[in-house]
Amino acid sequence: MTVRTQRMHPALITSLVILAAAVVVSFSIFWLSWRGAAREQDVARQVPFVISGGLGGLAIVGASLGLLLTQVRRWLDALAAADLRDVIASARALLDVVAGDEPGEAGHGPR
Amino acid sequence: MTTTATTVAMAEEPTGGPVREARTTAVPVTPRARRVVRPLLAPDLLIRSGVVVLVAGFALIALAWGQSAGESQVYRQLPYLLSAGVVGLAMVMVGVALATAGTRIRDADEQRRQMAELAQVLTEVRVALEEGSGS
Repeated sequence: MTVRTQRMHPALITSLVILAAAVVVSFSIFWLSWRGAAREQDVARQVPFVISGGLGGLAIVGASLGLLLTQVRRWLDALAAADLRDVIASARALLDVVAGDEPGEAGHGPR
Repeated sequence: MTTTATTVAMAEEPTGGPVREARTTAVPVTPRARRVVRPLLAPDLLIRSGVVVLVAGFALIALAWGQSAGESQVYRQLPYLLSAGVVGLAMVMVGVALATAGTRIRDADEQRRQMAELAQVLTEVRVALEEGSGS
């Protein structure tokens, strides 16, 4: 009954893999910028590496992680909504019995 | 790469409109990706690895500080800023994200357990009422 045992939408898996790959790629960008900056002995020539590799990579990491957490939150919210719908259906069936109707007679749509 | 058709339960419309029961979509995803992603979503694994990455990030930042403090030339300090400082900061962000995802999944597990229990109780009440009215 845990979250992990639930079926995952293929688009969710794809987005999680892509965003995780973006985080890994940004660490490669850090390595490239470090290599470029370490080769230079002039600060004025190192700063572009800091901006493009350092800040650019950090921006990718931040954006990817933000989107990744958003995707996880949306997935969990969808599961919670599905659970709530099951509970509502059970409550409706109970209401039908209390009201003397056959279960399902009053319909299962929103009232 | 295979194509998998999946039925996805949709949430009720916030405006009280009709419930969209299901949506069937076909999105390509490899079974391997599914096998890889699912175990990585274990809450305990996410939280523990998040804490480890977080501590490692702070250690890298401390290392960058220690190394750059020993240099008197800016051009020799900048590589430390990039290799350990920025990477350490990124690792702190990754660690926080992993721990956050882990705690959210753990909370969702608990919420699902309670919802299932509530649905079970409602079902038992209905059965009891039906048996009571039938006798």
